[in-house]
Amino acid sequence: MRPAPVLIASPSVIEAGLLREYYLRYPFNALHKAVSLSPVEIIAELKASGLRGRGGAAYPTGLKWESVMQQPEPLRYVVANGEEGEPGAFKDRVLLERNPLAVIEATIIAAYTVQACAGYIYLNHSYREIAQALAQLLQWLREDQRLGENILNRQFNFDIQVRRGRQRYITGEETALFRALEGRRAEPSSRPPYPTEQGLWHKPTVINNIETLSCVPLIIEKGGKWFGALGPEGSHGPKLFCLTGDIQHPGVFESTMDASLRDLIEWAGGVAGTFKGAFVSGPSGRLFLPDDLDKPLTVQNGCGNGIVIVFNDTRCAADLARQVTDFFFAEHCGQCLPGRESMKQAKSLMDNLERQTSLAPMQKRYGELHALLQNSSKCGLCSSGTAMAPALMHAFPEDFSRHFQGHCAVCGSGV
Amino acid sequence: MAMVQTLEQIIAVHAGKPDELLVVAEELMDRYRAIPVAALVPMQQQLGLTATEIQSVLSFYHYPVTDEPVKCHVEVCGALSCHLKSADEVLNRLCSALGASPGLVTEDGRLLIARVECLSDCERAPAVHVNGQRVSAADLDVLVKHIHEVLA
Repeated sequence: MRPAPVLIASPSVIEAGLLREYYLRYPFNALHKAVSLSPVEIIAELKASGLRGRGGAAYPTGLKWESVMQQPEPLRYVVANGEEGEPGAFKDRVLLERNPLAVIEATIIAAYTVQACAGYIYLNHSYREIAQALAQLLQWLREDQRLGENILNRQFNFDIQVRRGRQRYITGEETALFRALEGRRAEPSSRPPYPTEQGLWHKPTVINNIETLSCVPLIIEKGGKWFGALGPEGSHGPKLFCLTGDIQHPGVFESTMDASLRDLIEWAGGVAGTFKGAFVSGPSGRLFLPDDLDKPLTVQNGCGNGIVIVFNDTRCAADLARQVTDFFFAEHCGQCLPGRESMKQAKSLMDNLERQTSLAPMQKRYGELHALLQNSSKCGLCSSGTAMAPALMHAFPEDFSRHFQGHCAVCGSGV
Repeated sequence: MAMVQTLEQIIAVHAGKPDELLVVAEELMDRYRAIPVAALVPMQQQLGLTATEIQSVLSFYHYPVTDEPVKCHVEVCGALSCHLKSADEVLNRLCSALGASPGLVTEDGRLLIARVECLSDCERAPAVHVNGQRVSAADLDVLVKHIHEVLA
């Protein structure tokens, strides 16, 4: 049975033009409760909840906040990551349209917990209306002493700026996002040091995905135990899934992580055609095949950021592999030599598909590039971006073999 | 002259703040739908950055830099969810109907149709934005008519 939504229970307040009414109704229970707790108590609640990051890496949120709190450097920042540039991702947009104050409230709670002086909400450039709505909400919050100087008379000063940047997938990487906020090219930094030690302006920084933050007010208000009881072990709490591709009714679906891919597809009205496969956690995630339909979409099974792109049996896997490779080639930053050269070679392999004679050497070379990137590239983008094509080659060799004849009647590609 | 003054007003708010380069770029995009060449020198002067530093950042984020503000900026998403919904065909048909080439401003300087990697509007695939506003690509004749109206 599909659980009742708690993250996106309401329709869009921005689209409905009900921002003021929404603001006046919003209870701020979590914020009021949080400022009555100590930072250590808040972190204990987060740890008890089992909340893990919803951006893909699934790092425990309580540990991240605790690490920032323990840094000797007093100047600290909080960043809400709403870049959302991976194909098939739009859950943060839907969340911000429906319950933006949960994200703002969580950002203030994070700042109170780690004693941060400033925060940023970074958005995909196409979220113009959301940025305007957030700016208005922040202004009302300042007027009501919930933001700015002496918040809720607790001698706690903190303010938030909303920033947008033109879409580059790499900007969603935490360290790359710091560079974007600093007005620079979004090029990732080597780790360590981690963002909790040296993040924005090289100061300790809490950076969380928008969906992760939206879970925080629920945890503070209802308790970590309540949150931890939702979903299977190691995959606690509500989760948003974006379903697109060959699906009857694309959209965002909220569930716990014991839902299977079959459940999600059913809630979205079914597959348009016959299911052939799905990219779970997007094109940088895992390939799900018909045998995987009943697997629960847990953290362990790779639910990642919750992107699900379904494709039916009329699709050519080689065309999909080419599309995925082109995307990561276009979006890699070009900063490190392994990334730059390997992505060029991966693209060349796919561009010359029709000139290959057999799959095995191509599969071997693509796999070598993926392994090289895993071991030597500066960030995870290029290595995760070269994982899907070999998986498609392994699952659908006949689709690639068609291209070796010089023409594919399924996708229409040919020399 | 009016355009230069407005440019300067937009940029002057961020004087002495080189970290706000992307903020300036976004504000210029909102106002002019591209970064006018005339903005580059005031950006250098006010933000305290070199021309190379500014171009390096603008090109990294694929900001269109044009001689004059464009009247209509059409973005067609070509990422995977939209690819599965014939985004390439939408792009080609729009360009053909409007006499444009993907990624290039038309000779009259008024229209830019560009393929972008993701508009995060995947549930409406193929996603198309005209001057930052979501539009439907379900009926391309209607969409072409809408773009003509924006250009008028």
